[in-house]
Amino acid sequence: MSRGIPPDRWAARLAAAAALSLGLLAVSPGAPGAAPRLAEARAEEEGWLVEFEAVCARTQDAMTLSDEELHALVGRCDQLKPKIEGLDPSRRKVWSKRLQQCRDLYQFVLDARVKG
Amino acid sequence: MGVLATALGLVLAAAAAGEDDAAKAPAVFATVELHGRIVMDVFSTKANVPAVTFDHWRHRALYTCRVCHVDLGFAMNAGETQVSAATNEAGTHCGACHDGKRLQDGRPIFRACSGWPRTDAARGCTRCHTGPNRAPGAAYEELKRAMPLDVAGYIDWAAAMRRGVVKPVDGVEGISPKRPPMKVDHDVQIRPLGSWMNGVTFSHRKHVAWISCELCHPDVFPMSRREQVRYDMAAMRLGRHCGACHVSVAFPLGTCQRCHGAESGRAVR
Amino acid sequence: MIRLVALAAMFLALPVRGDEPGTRKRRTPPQEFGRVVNQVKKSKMGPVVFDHWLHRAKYTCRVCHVDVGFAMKAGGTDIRAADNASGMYCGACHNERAKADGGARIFAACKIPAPADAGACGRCHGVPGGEPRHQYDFASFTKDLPRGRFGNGVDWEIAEQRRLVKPVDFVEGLSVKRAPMPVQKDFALGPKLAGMPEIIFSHAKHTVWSGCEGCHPEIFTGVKRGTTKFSMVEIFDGKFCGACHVNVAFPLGDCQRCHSKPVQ
Repeated sequence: MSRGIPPDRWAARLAAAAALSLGLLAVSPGAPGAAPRLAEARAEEEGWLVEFEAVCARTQDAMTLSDEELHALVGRCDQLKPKIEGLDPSRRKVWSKRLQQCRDLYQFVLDARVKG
Repeated sequence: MGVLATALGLVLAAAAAGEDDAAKAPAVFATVELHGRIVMDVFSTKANVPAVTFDHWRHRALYTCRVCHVDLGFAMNAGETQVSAATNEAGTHCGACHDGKRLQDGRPIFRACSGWPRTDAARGCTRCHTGPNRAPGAAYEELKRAMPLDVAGYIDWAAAMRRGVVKPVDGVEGISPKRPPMKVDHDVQIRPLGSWMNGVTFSHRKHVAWISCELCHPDVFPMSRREQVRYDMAAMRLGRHCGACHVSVAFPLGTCQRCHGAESGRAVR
Repeated sequence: MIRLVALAAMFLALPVRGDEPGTRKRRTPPQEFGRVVNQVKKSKMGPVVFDHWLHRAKYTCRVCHVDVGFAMKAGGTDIRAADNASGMYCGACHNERAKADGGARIFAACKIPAPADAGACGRCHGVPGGEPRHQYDFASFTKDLPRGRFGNGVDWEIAEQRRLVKPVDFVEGLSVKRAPMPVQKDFALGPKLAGMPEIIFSHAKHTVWSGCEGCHPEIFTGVKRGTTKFSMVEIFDGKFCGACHVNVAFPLGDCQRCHSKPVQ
C-alpha cells in the first residue's frame, strides 16, 4: 500500500484522514433523524444558542462535576439570561424557562453537597 | 305528634331529594334475592338493546372484589365504567374474561358481545342483555342452599369463604400482578354516636380477603390521623364510607348485628 | 322523639357521590387518563383537550416538559397561537415540517393569520357549537400493548422494554445534545406508616423518561432545603411523586408498584 509514497507523506495523509474522521464523529448528531446540531444550524445568527448548548448539555453529568465547574456553569447561565430576555415573546418564554431549569439544577446539585 | 313529625320528614325529603337524586339513591330495601343486582345501561337502550342485569352473586362466588374493581377497572357507581361492546371486544371490562378462550372449571368462558355490531337477538346478546327485571333463577336457589346465611337471610360470604364453601380466585392471568398480597391485620375500634348501640370493631383482615387498599384509601377512608371522622348511618345509607359497598353489594346496613353485635352477628347456619 | 328525629334525618340526607368526602372519586376511563384540558383565554375557541397517551407512546416526557418547555399543570404554560405559529410549544413539531414516525408530516397548529375555515382549528379546539375535536382511536392503538391495571390500562414500562413503543428523546431545533446519563442505583425510602412495605425508587427508570431538570429542584427540592418527608396526603394532592403519578404516569392506586419491598 505504501509502496510508491514516501513515509512522511504517508504519515501526513494518515493524520489528515484521522483528523477528518474525528471531525466527522464530533459533528455526528446521534439522533435517528440525522438532525443538524442545534448550535451549528443557527450559529451565525444566534451565538447565545451555542453558549446555551455548551452550558446546559451537561445537566445529565451534573453529579460528576466539581464544585468549581458547577459554579462556573451557574455563572454562565446568569450571563446568558439578559440575552434570552431580549428575544421575541414566544422564544423568550420557552428559553428563559429552560435556562431557569438548567441553572436551578446545577444550583440544586451544589446545595446538596453543602455540609449541614 | 309522632305522625306529624314523620309526615314532615317525608315532605321535606321529597322536597329536598328531587327527581335525579331519587333515581340515584340506592335501593336499600331490595329483597334478599335482588341484593347485589346492578343494571348497566349507559349504551344499551340507546342501541335498541335491552339493558344488562348483572347479579353479583355468581361472580362473587368465583372471584374476589379486587379482581374486577381494582384489576379490571370496574367502577363502583352506576354509569361510571361505561362498559360497551367496543371495550368488551377489545379485551377490557367484561371482555377481559368473557373472550371465549379463558377457562373457568375447564370450560371456556363465553365471549361477550361477539355478535356486535349486529344487535338482533339471534346473536346471543340476550344472555346478558335481558332488561332490568330478570328473575334470579334456579342457579341462584341452588347456590343459596349451599351457603351460610346471616340473621337477616342474606348470604354470609365471609363465612362461606372462611369455611371454604367458596374459594374465590384473586387474580386474572395477564392483568393482575404476581405479588403476594399485603398482610394487614389491624383492627379499628369505632365508638358509637348513640348510646343504644354497641361500637364497631372494624377488621382489616376480613376486608383484605376480598378487596385491596386502593378501593378504600384514601377516597372512602382518608388516612389522616389528625381528623376525627364521624361515620353516621344517614350518610352511609346514601353511599358514604361503609355505604360505598354495604348498601348495594356487600351485606346491607340493615343487618345491624353484623357490625354492631359480636355473637349475634355470626352466620346462622 | 330522638328516634323520630333520627328517622327524619335518614330521609333528609341527600344522596352523595363523586367528590363528596367518603365516596370514591370517579374512575377515569382508560382513554381519558392523562387528559389535560387547557382553557383558552380571550378567544371564542373551545378548550384544547390533550390526551397524553398518544404522545407518550412516541416521545419521552423530557422532550415536551424540558426541551419544549410545557408546564406540568393545565393552564400553566400560557401557550398562545403566536407561540405555536412561530415554532414554539405545540408548534415545535406541529408545523408541517417535522415528520412523525412513518414519515408523514405533522399537521400545523395555529396558523397565523387564522384560516377562514374553522375546521382546521377544530382538530384540537373543537368548533364552538359544532363538531367536537378530533378523536384518536385509543382501542386500536393500544390493543396489542401489554395490559396494565389502572391508568390507560397499558403497562407503558413493559411496552418500552419490549420495544413495542420507542419514545423519541430528541426534537430538532430545541433539544440539546447530551451525553448518555450515568447509570444510577435504586434506593429504598422508608414509609411513615409502620407495616407498609418500603418504597424502592429507581432513578434509572425515571431519568429515561424525564431527565434531571424535570424534577430537580422544582418538584423535589432536596433534603438540604428541608424536604425530608413525602406524605401520601401531599402526594395525592399533586406534590412530589403526585406531580406525575396522579394524572399521567401510573396512578397512585397501584400501591405495591412503589411500596414493593417488604420490611424485614
